[in-house]
Amino acid sequence: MDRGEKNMKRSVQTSDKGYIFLFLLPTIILTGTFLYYPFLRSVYKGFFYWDGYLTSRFIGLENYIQLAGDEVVRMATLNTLEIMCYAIIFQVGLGIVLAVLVDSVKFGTNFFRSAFFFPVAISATAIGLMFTLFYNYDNGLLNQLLTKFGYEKVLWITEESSLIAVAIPTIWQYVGFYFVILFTAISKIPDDFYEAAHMEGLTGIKKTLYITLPLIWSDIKTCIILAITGSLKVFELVYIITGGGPVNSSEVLGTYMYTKTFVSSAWGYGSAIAVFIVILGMILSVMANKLLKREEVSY
Amino acid sequence: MVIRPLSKKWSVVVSVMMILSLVFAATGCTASSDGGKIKLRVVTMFAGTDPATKVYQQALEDFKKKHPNVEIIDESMTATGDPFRTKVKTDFTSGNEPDVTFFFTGADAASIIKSGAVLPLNDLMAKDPEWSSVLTENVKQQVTEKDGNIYAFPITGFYEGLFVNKDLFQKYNVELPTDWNKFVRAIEVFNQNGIIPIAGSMDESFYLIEHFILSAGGAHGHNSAFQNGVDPTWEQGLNQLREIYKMNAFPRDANTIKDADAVQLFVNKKAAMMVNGSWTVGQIKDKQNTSVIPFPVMPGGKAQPKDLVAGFTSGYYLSKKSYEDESKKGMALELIKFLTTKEMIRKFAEANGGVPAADVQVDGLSPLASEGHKMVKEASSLSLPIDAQISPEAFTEIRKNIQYIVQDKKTAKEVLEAAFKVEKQARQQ
Repeated sequence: MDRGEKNMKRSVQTSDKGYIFLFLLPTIILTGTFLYYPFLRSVYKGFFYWDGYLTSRFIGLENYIQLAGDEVVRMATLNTLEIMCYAIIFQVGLGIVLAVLVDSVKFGTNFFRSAFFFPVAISATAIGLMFTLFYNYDNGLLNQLLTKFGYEKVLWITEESSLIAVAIPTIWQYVGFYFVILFTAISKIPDDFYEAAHMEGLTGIKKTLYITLPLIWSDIKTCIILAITGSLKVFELVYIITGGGPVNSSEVLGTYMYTKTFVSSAWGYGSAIAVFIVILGMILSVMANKLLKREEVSY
Repeated sequence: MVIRPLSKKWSVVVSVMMILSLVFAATGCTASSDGGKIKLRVVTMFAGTDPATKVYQQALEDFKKKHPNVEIIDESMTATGDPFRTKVKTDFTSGNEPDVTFFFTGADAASIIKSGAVLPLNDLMAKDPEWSSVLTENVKQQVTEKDGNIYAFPITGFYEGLFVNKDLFQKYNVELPTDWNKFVRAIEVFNQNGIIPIAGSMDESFYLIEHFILSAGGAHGHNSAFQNGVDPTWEQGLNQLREIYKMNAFPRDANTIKDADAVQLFVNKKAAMMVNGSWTVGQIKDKQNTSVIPFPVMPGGKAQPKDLVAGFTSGYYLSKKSYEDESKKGMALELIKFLTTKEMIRKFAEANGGVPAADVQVDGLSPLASEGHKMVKEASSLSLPIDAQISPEAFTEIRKNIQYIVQDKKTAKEVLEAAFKVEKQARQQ
């Protein structure tokens, strides 16, 4: 490389940086204004007793001390983690199963793709309302069916069942999302691999276990991380179907933060819960990344 | 490479334009390009399913006809649930207060009043005796805040009580629950006959909490509002609520059902009784066979048989900024006066079945609504709801724990003490 070329490269790099900055600027302004500033403000307000209005008094770590001893926060955290497990096992798990199955069928791939993806496009509020109408004790779909067949009505949402009752629609809604990601990943695997495997005598489940899954491992990892972060954001379905009850048995961190902030007007405490949600999310994502670290296969 | 200087310029231009468009988007909502018109922003709860919506909208149209130079930006929304409170509070917190706001009084409005964003109406009322005379003295007293000023000009009030489906009582040959024994008897009989005795929600138990505490402590106990710690009658009231819950007096899904759904159980005659307020009168279809009576006094309770939770807890607030803005020419006050004439109050009371704040004859009331008005006239005391007297955080602490109390997971004492602690923190300056 002669001197002229080197200079040219340097000048390109410098002006590229300018471009990069300019093109990123609108995003930086938008996320800065609507994401990072409010978050930093939440961190700041977490140290205050604040009624969301004019009473704002510095109370140091009191909100965090209250948070550490708050029984509902403990329950909501455990519930959030439980939903996370369901999300990883069922959302991603079923996504993999469906993707492998649809990949092996010869006709109708597009139909399955649309059919499974469809719930993702429906608003969570509408799905929540639909499931509320399923579970309703007095005249819900499930109880009407039971009465029709001569059985007693069942109280579907109880302390024991409420979390499952909200986990079902949560899983149902997002299975299609992971299915589409994984199905696309599977269809990108070159046929040569399968032909070679076929010649070696690998078929059926072994083909999936030894060829397909290792080759889409990085996509599965992405899906698991998305499922983890996604389950931290579960809000609408719980809010609409159970409202976090009965006796906080289906409370998740999002709904508890909402109740404390907007219903109880405890905005300072709500901010502290919000900070806790972010920290928990960061810890879980880092942990997931570490645990799932595995050499990626490139092809 | 040749075009780089040009494209760089362009990208600078594009970026600057994007930044400017953001800035304009953010400020656009407050810019007023009026073309000589006076813009008034109004936020009320007369929207959606509120029965007074039509009367309100017609009133705004009439005002615009009378003052063609005024343009009204109506941002009203229904007050069901929490979003209305959040909207109004956020508007005031961000310095974006409406010119005219129809909002609650009491604990909800405390911070708005403290901020000085709304004007006391006393002087303005003194200057206009005709307008001032619209309100009866009782009503004026009820809406007077702790500092002795009136900030909200009310139009109609509400009452709460025990709603009963009289036809179900006749069918099962039960006496109306005018005292505690009859109340308990009714619960037993309806239970035996597969009718839900009381349509109530434990999650949204606002009115149950108020009435059980009122029945135990009377007006004095009910209105103690944590002034001298936890009044023992509050614990007595909530314990009695637990006993009634254990008699299977509420729907099987009482712990998850919302108040709106519970009301439907009563409206559809699946439930015999309901503790609720006058705002549900509009939803009750069978106004002939439905009645409303005061909640009975429990054994050992200090209430008088006709003590009620009722009153005037909402009204029009006038923004100070708007009143002092000369370009608005006092139009916000004009609008409030227009919306609070005796005639207008009569129209609103006819529409929503509430108790008028002025001394006017309301025509066309259903038998149920007339009974409600009669009950208020004959009441031995009128108390404002507990959630208008203590901080929202303390009240929510009680309300969200009712499920724990009725299922013996926490004692009423524990819950009330926790709520008192929250209230003390809210009162600290």
